[in-house]
Amino acid sequence: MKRIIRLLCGLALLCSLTGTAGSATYIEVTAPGNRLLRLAIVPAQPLGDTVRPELANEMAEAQVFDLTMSGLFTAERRDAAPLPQGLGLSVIDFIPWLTAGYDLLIRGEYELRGDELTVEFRLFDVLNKKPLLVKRYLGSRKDLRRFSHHFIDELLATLAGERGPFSSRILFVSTQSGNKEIFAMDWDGHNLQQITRSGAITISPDVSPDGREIIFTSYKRGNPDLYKRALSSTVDVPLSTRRGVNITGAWSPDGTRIALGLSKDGNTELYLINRDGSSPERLTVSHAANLSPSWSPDGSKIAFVSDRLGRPHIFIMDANGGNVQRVTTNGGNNFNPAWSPKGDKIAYTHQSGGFQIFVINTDGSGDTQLTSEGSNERPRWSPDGRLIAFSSKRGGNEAIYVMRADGSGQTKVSRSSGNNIHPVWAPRH
Amino acid sequence: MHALQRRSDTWLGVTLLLSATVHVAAFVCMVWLQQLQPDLGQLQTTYYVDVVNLPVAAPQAGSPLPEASPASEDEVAAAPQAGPQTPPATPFPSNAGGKAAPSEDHGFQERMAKLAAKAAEQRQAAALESLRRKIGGGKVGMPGAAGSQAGSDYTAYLHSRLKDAFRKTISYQSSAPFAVVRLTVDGDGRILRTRFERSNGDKLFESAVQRAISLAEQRIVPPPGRSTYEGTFVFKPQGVTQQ
Repeated sequence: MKRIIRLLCGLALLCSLTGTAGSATYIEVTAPGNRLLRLAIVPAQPLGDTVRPELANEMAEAQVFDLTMSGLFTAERRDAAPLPQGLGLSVIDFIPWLTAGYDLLIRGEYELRGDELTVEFRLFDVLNKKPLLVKRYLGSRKDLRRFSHHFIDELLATLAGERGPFSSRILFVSTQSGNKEIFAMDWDGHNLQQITRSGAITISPDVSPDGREIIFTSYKRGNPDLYKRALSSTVDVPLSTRRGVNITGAWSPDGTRIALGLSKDGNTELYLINRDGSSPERLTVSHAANLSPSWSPDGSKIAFVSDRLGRPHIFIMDANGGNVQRVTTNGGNNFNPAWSPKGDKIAYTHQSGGFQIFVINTDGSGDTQLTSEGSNERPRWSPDGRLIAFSSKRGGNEAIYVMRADGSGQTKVSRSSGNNIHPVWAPRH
Repeated sequence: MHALQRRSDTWLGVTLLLSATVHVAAFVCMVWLQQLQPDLGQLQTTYYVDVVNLPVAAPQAGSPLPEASPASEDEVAAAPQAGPQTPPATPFPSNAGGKAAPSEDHGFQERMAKLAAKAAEQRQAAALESLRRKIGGGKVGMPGAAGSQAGSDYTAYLHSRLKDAFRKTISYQSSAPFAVVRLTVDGDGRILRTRFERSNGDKLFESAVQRAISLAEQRIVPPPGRSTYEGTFVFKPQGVTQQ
């Protein structure tokens, strides 16, 4: 009986194998180039009696900027006749858009009742004449740009497989109030908000992985101490006030620990502390300065700066301080490492004459210069790794700039006066 | 103990029998399902024949019939030759030392030749019509082709349409994107099914491939014989060598 069963199973397996093997013929289809998708954005049309074209224009302009910076689209604002029965009931004629060469179309509608704002955006595939994404937002007038950015984030998730960074904010240090204080803004420079008002030097902010708290170094008690603050609060909680410097704090990806540089024993060494400042654990042991920790996305490794070989260079080590490896080998000085969210690259500042932004693979290969104009420092990745924020001095004051991860599209985004430095990209919300 | 062992052996036999029955039933079902599926190998090697411009078998005779059709050969062999009749081979010229044929006979032969030529034309037209019906009516195969070019099969035709469309839609965000897509085209020339079998995960590239297929679908003609076509295509940017 067992023989029969085995025979039958073997026959069945043979049948299935011959069935699949017979149809395996592959024909290669190739095409040159890598075109950008053409996307038309029609300003949202009003619903109801309140007609505010400036709102529709602001939303469209914000979306055009987001899409252009994504590097995947050629986005253009285009006017079109309003749909008589709104987005839900009208039939859109796609032929003119197809004839004009557009791949995608965004149409929307809004309704403003007092301060209450309702917005709906729809993304259409012009070729297949079908909607790809529909989102409806309810909020207030001040949420207008946030809705627009959020829709583009969702659009990128739909078309490119990963959400965009455009609904996130950038924190940075600005001197516009007289002292170095921490401010926050939308990624494109709008909605500026002052976070700290310490009246002293405040530097090196970092945002917790949940986006609710920040840590920073402040001299408000004379010594560079590390503080923590909830973004919904105005109270600064001292985390590390040890003798010497308490600088360059960095949240671990799981938000439970903080890596920072302490000089309580002489030279600056890297330590780990709990999120409440307790249980310091020393990571580096060397005669040189060790600072500026940056966590790998999985929290298993830390990149940092050390001048243990003479000049400051970028190193990586395990999160427990072991297995130290040198990453940069070029001449000059290298600072401010920032580990990419995908974990494959480290952006850093290279000083050889001026300061410029470079990226390098974590194994030390592929060292690539991204900036060349002016003096550029402190790169920080966007949450999705598509963009890099950095501070740049290109005549006049230092400002916050954003570029794509390949160095293209360098654009000034900070709009405030004074020097704007130390950008850090907050998580998406 | 002995009785318990015997009962246990009986159940083992029943279980094995039941298992064998289930397996045989499953095997029969699988064989039956295999038979239901179309023979993809034959579809892959189907060649298009342009029925409008058939290869000429005998250019001097003006015959449009193909050479390799036994039935047609028989018909042609049985049919009287159209056009001027070749005189039978004789050791001497027909007018040498012989009497001239009467004028009535000559007229009769001309009429007979015309009738024979007309009958031959009718047979040829019937054969052509039969061939057209056999291949399938309407516009099929590769438009504009003579049907005698090397590689003028439906796969090559579809590849050409896809490549043209892919040039207009290609877009990607990874360094070496690729997508292996299995296409099913129904008898009306519509893309019945698009199945992504493998890709490197670049969703933008997959979207570009999907759009290329949609664009190509607008212009493709039905497969030969209006049968279902299945083929697997590997899309990738030109110059990328990664498989």
